[in-house]
Amino acid sequence: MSDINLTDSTTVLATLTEVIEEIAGPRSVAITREAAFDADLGLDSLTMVEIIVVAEERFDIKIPDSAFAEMTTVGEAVDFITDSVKAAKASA
Amino acid sequence: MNGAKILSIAAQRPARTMSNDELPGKFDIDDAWIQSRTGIATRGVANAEETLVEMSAGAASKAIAEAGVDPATIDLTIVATSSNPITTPGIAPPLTDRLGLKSGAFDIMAACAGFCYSVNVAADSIRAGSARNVLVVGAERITDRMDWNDRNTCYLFGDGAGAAIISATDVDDDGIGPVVWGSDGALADYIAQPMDSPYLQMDGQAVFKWAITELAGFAREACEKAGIEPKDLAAFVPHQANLRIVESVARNLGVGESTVVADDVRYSGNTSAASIPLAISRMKEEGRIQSGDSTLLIGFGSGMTWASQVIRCP
Repeated sequence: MSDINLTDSTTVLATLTEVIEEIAGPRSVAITREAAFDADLGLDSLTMVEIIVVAEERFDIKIPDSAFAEMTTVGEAVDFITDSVKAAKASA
Repeated sequence: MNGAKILSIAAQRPARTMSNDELPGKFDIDDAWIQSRTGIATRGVANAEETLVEMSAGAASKAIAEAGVDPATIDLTIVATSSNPITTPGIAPPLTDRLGLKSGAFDIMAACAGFCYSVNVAADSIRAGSARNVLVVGAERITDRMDWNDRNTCYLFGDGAGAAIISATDVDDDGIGPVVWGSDGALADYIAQPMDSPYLQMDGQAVFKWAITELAGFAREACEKAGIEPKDLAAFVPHQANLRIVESVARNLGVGESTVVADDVRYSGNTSAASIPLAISRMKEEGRIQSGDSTLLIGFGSGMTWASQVIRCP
């Protein structure tokens, strides 16, 4: 597992951006916290499933379907991932 | 002990092809949406005369002729299908009668993994000395079980049949690699036809997530057992469920830049147990694969169940 500090939300955003671009290619708009996955970044639900699967592996966390269903923006995903990574580290 | 190899693969597609614009249900989805999510542009829809037996016979006759075997020497017939309209008998016995055979005959019900399961059962039968020539068929009339008004599934499925002749050969000429097969019955409700429903129902998102997470590992294991690296495969033919799954699994598996990846789903839709032989048949017709090419197959579907092996393309 990388020694990058994945409890820092800025780093999480950068890593999640890498995942999005690996799966879906470069986006026509910047991937910011405010960007909506569907409306702004043009990511359909199947692409989102692929992104979540890779994100789980990259961050070594589980993202339940119920949590995934609530994420409409990049910021919501970053916050969930950051909290999950912190929780995993705290219980390690 | 004998070896086993595939001598031929042939297809029988319905006469009618239905485009996305011709789908009978009324929804807020169009051709562009369907193609972006699934890769499907058209699907074959069988008419009343194109029964499972008739389509199977069509594919089988071509496969037998291409293989150059005397039909009387076929000692086993296996039909993989999940759309037999009746409980009993299976499709294989009336198929053998239709072809003028008296071979052993049984059906395999392993959903969309049925063809790969059947190939291995056929190969093992030959290696054990129980048969010398085996007819394997994947045949489906999935549209019989489809709700054309179900927005989740109405554009996904199609009909058709593919057949292969698998024959005994020298051990050092064996052309069917070791199978990797398994199941996860805890996921049985992902794709199912409930007792009280005439229609197939599917949790598409759950199936998609399972497929892109799990399949590359099974496929990689099949390559390892066959002694080939994924990047060195000449062709990759996964069950044609959805082009997005095909592309994701190919990427995760790490196929080579020159590996030809099957995409018959674009034209045929998801034809369940028929999809792999239909896909191989199209690739051969188009000259995208040649006899002798190392070809990785992986079938997967309702159960969930899966089977994968590397074959030498006939």
